[in-house]
Formats: sequence, structure tokens, C-alpha cells
Amino acid sequence: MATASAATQTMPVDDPIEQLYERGVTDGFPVVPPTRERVERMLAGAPDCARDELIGTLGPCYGEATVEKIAINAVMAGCKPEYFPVVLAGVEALCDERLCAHGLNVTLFSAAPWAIINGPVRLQIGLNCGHNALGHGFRANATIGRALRLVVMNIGGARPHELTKATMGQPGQYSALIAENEEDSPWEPFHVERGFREDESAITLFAGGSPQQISDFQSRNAEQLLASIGFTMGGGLWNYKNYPLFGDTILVLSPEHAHTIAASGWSQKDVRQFLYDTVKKSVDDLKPGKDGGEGFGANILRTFEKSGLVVDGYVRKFRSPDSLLVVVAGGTAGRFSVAIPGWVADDLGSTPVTKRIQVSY
Amino acid sequence: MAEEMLNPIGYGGKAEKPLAPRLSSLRGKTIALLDIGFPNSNVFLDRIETLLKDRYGVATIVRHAKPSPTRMAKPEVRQDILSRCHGVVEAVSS
Repeated sequence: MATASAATQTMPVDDPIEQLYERGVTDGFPVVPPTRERVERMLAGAPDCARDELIGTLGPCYGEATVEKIAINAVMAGCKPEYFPVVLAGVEALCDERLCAHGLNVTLFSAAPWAIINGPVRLQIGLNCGHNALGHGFRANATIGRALRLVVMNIGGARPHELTKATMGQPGQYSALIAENEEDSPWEPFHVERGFREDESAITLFAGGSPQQISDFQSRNAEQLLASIGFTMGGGLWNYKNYPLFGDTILVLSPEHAHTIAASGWSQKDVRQFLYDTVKKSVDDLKPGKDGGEGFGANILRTFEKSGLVVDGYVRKFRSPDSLLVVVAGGTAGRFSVAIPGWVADDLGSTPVTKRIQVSY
Repeated sequence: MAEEMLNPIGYGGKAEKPLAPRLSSLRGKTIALLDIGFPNSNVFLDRIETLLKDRYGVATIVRHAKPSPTRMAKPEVRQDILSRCHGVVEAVSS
């Protein structure tokens, strides 16, 4: 009968990976030990930044996100030095007051800071924009999002069972990153819509929940396809009675779906306008009733009427066309898209924030 | 041989803080009610105010509100509660 060797029966007391677990600074997966040598290599990835430069402070504990502290967490996440400018820009967005990271990091809503990455940096550092774009298997995608999570934990001080109170949590809290498939998109890149040049690189952070996959195999033009996607979004985001959503929403269109829409001559702006105009519910259907206790009472519906949210007896799902962020990602085969509902927006919560990535290579 | 590792923590001290000392009695005290902004929280806090006065003899209730459930109370609100209240009830509803 085989027995365990002596080597497998003892735990080395100076194992750095185990020590980091003991200190509570990991996301649950093992982290790369942040030795001085590794941190120096990471810092060299952003040679124009001084190590003591303060990028910002991050709630809920308002730790100071210096370049060096961010580099330590990027090492632990498994980033390569060439990813570091992306991580720095991501942390700059995290610390931007408009994102409301303090609330995002402690809310009951199971949020993640979803990162949308655009521009030449995607291909330069090997971000996967194609098949399995939102999934596993690619170091840049996995570790850049993970670095942001470790920064939130170790600089922001947000840990589950302490200040982070998300009821459910979600897998995107390990890493939530979308690199746009600009090469297979029929439209201009997302960051160009947000005011950047196509040859610039940018990262947008969005306070989002869990992605919902939406299939449509049969629609053959923009109107058919977006009616189908919109109907699914209308029912599935937050709750089928949540009209309007008080947050923004990302719609990640697969290249096949995007090309079907573009073949009808529609732009991203047309996509947003169509979904805004057509996804709506009658006021009567929003009241709590035999289809469930969720919904809006008469007093809330009266405030909707006063604030112009009720038009011809209907309330729209989306607050405005601009509350929809349309991105193209994923593989070129497959008629699947994804909707990501946002946490509450604007003065109630969070506004998506885009920062330029300062690439020096 | 242990490797030297740099510290990833960027905030001071532990996130957990001890509870403030509890009040021995509410009678004659000034208590703040901080509405965090969920639906019906005003209805809930109106009832709490009545109970605190009628049942526990609270002398004065100070009502404040956060800008929204997701935003922190403004510094002047926190300062007002600190300066003239013996305790605070930060409350939700839905």
C-alpha cells in the first residue's frame, strides 16, 4: 500500500504563498509573492511614473493608491510589466469620485468594476477579444482584472465578511474585463464614441453585475434582432418589474449580431435609441399583483408621472439612450450576445469612467 | 529560506472598529435618525421617532438624511451628529 512521502506530510513554514494566505491579502486563489525584484520589474513597465506618485485614494478605507502599492498588487495578480500601464489607468478610474467605488465596494448589490479596454494596447499585450472574450484562458485578461480586485481589497480595504456586504457575490469579482474586438466590429471603437482617438488606448470602468447571455439564431435584420434582445433585457435585468432601471447597462454584441445590425445600416447610436424607444411596459403591469409582490405602488408611480417617466401609459426600461453602453466582443462564430446590468447610476451611485492608458512602448 | 515580500496593504490599521460605548438609558437624550434613502425609510423612521419619545423618553430627535443610499453622509451632517447627539440610528427600509 502506497503511503504519503515525508515531503507531502509537512507544511513548509516559510512558504511565501501560504504566508500571503495567512495575512488575508489574496482573493482566494494563490498569489505571486511580491518580492522586491518582481516589484521593481513591474515598476519598470511604467517608466514615466514615480513609485511614490499618488494615483488616488480608494474607499471604503481610503487607502493611498501609490504607484508602488499598485505595482505590488499587480505582481500578486500575476501581471506582466507591460500590463502595468493598463492597471494604473484602471486604478485611476477606480479612484475617480464619479465611479463611487466606496459605495460599489460595500453595497448589497453584487457588483464588480467591469473594465472595457480599447485601442492598440489590446493587441500589444495579448488581450483576448475573440472567442471566449469574457472567459478564462488568457493571462492579460485574467490578471489585469484580478489586479484591480486586489487593489480594491488591499488598498481600498474592501473584504467580504468585513466591509464588503454583497449578498450573493459573483464570479466577475475575481476579474471582470472586456477587450473590445475592434477588428471584427462594423463600427468605430467604443472609446472613440467616448471622445478618444482610435490610436489611443483607454480603459472604461463600469459598476456592473453578472453577465446575462442572450441567444438569437433566427433574426436576420436589425429590427428583428434588437426586438428579441430588448425583450430579453426587459425581463432579465434586475427584475422584470424594474422599469426604469436606475442604472446603466452594457450590451456586448457578438460580431455576428453586430454585423446583422450594421447590415441594416444601423449604428451603435441607432441600437441605443431603438432599445430605449421599444423596451417598455404599461403602468398597470408595473404594479404588484398576481405576477408577484415586486413592483411599484401608486405613490411611486405618481412620482414617475410627475417626472415625465410615463409616456402614453408606458414606462421605458432604460432611462435614456445613453444609459446603454454598446461594445463588440467575442468570436466571429456564434449568435450570442451578453447584457451586463449596472448598479444604480449618476447621483444615486456610479457613472462609467474612462481614462487614457499611457503606453510608452 | 523566506523571501522578503513587500506589503500590499495601502490603508492604515484593521477595517474593523470597536463599537462606541453603549448608552445606559435613552431618557432625556438627543438622538439622531439618519435616513439612508431607501424607499419608505421616512415611514419607518417616523415610527421609530414616536417609539423613542413615547416609550423610552428621548428628549430630542434630530433628523438627517444621506444624499442617497450609496453616498456617504456629508461632513456637516456627521459633525452635527457628533456635536449635539448622544446617539444615532442609521436606518433603512424598503
